[in-house]
Amino acid sequence: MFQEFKTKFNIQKEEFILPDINKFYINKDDLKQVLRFLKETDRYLFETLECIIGKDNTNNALELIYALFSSKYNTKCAVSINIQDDFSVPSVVEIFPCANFDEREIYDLLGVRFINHPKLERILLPSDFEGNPLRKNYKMQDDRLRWNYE
Amino acid sequence: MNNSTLKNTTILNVGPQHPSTHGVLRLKCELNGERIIKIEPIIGYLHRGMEKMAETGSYLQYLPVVDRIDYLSGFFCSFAYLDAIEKLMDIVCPLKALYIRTITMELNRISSHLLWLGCYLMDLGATSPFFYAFIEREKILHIFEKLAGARMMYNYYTLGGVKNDINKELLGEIKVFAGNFNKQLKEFEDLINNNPIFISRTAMIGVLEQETAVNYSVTGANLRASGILKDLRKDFPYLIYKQIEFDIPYKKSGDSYSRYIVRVKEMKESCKIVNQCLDWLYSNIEDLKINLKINTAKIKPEGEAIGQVESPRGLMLCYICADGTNKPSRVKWRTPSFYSVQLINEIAKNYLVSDLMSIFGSLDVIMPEVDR
Amino acid sequence: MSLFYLLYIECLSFWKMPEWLIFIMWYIFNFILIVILMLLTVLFLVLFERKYLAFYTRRIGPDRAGYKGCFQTVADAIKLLFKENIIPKNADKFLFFLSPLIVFVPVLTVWALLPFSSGFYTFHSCCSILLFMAFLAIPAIGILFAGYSSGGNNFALIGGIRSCMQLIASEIPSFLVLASIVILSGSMDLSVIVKNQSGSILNWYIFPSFLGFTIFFICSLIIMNRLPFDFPEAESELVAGYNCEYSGMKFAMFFLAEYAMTFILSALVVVLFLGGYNAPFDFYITDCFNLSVILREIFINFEQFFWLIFKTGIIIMLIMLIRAAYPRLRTDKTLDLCWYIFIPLSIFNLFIAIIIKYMRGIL
Repeated sequence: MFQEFKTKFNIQKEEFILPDINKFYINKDDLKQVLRFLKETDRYLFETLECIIGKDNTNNALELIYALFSSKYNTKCAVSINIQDDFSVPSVVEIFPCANFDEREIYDLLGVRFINHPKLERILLPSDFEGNPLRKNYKMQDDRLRWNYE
Repeated sequence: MNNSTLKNTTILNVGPQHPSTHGVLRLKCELNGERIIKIEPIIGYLHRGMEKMAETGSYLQYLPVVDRIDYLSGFFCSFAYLDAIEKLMDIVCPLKALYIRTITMELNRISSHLLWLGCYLMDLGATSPFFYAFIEREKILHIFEKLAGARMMYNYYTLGGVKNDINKELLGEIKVFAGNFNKQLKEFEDLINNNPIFISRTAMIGVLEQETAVNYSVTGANLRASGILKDLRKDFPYLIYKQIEFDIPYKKSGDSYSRYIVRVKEMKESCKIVNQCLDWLYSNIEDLKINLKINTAKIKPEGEAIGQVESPRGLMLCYICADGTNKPSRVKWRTPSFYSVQLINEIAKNYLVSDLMSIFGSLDVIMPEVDR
Repeated sequence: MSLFYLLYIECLSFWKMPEWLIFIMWYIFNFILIVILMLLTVLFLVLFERKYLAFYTRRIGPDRAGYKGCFQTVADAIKLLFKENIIPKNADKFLFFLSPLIVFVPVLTVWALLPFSSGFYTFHSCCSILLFMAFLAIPAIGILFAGYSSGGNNFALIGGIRSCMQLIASEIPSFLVLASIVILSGSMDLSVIVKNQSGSILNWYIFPSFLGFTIFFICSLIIMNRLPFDFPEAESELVAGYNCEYSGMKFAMFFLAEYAMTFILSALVVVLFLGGYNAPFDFYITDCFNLSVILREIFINFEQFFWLIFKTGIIIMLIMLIRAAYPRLRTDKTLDLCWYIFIPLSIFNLFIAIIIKYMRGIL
């Protein structure tokens, strides 16, 4: 089903999220084009963005997974981008308005800046909080939690 | 009075402590007289770090915490988490466990909807249906206490099945409850459905268009009340929903009244599902095992998986990324109320302050789910 | 002058007091009696409401304080007395202090205008019905002051503004209905209205103007800020609205005023439409016993008072039943209801009253 999509955007790497959800790795710059293509072409029609998952793989690399759902063809797929040194990603709020809070949460917990987001602020943590807790190298400030790192 | 006097508006701060925001949520409303111009929801008062907590312990150590992500539908959260791990480790639960899981999840759906019903009507001002709903809910919680040992934070599901077995006496109690439930629900409908005050408070209030619903990733009863028929139990059937007959209620108008009607009908459908599962369990009660005894030291999966479930509020998704050790690398929860809170700015414009409570109550938002 | 007044003057004639002193002491004596009556009524009414609503929701209600909860209101009052008196920083102190009084005092005053029995009637005036309704319009302004003076609290302000909206909505239909009652009875004096309904139950004004009864009943629900019209203090929307910032004794005064107004407005409904203190039949029960003239007068007064309380109790039970059953209306729907529906109906009712009076005059 995804043959046309894979050839158009020259996707090399593809994995599976169980149960049978395809995960495609794309470049950060192609993100908006890919999502718009998946949303609007009749063959795919992934019009719902179910969630944006932010992951901290080790070696200072983050990964953002956009989970999409198409109700017409009853399939799910995922699009994933790797972020290395420059933690800024174009925002997809114009294509999928529900990404608003999701992107703020990823900014809050992982420290990824989204360009052109209408209101990029901390959402779950207090606004004067320092640090990004979901990163693996985040040290919790409380000494009593030292057992977690040993 | 404040710095918006130039625009002739006042800022009304609803919450964080407020009797009808269903938790700690702050809605910063900009009003012109009593008309709403803009609402900004401010969340995060109940952030407990659930996702980070998962990375600090093993898979089974995180299991009791999972119930508390949405305290009204603990079984659903447990199931979403365990479903992901079972897919990673390629485990299939025994059939009896699947039936018990289905019954408990449907009863949980009924109890969550009953609480929603009581609180929604109390927000609107009718003080008696709250108590009638809670009387029914007490019966369900009593059944759960006998089955799982707790009224709300169950910790009953485990990897490969359920923990305690079910006996004939308990099946009899569930059957009595399910038999009476339709009659009690009819009392509710007689009191409320055709009440002119209720209709004038909820009909054509907070209309959710289909396009807005799809754009904002709304799922569950809110989506079905706008006319889009999407239910995870029919689209991607899990547990034993393939073998059970039930309908999905939906309505086309998308206002608060249709959300109310859809949820009441969902309760009836859940009752039907419970009755069908009870029939199977009555005939197969003795022989089968309820869980696979899994060596907890060997739980070291690898890969990524998603466990999804149709919770009372919508689609709940649990994404687990496992790296071969006994601790998860990343657990992400996609909770339906998070997306309903974003919706409030879109659908509550140009209504009055009284309508805000009516609209917000009908969206069925639970704050622990939003903040995790 | 009633028999009580004559009795009173006779009792006091033993002491050589100037006449103006006797006159003033009569009013003071009545005032004390009314205050005691009001406190007892509110005491009973608060507890009755909670028990009654509990009965409708399959609960028990308060049953710890005293025998089966009798002293619950006393316990509440003592608790409120001991609370700290908090005044918000941005509050307008003078208005903040004055608002509970503006709400409470008119409600206390109208108890003097109502004929509780043919002898117990404090303030005689030829237009007492007008005075009654005029006094009952003042608490709404008190609520507005309470809302405005609660500092920068926007919830309280919205509550106050809503109470003015309700006042505007409900006054016009109720005055039109009152006009029809005045036409039917020929006088604005409440005691004359009650005397005209004496005799059998068919003389009660509910039968010629049943429409007026329903309109006035619903408008009185609006005036007393009861569910389904309790917007100024809508608990789940506005977090207690105008009395958000009040604590302690000031809150107790708002509370007292609400229940006192419930009673006195129900009593007004009974006086206007249901025959006041008259029995449904034509004779007095005390006539069965052979009593002397003075004792008979006293017991007839008690009997009339009993009938008034009995009928008021029925109306109050109806009001509480409505509270238990219905959700709250929206503010602008109340305005719609009163202006679009009630005003034409009450004008129609006025015409019916005129026609009936004319027919009665001919016959």
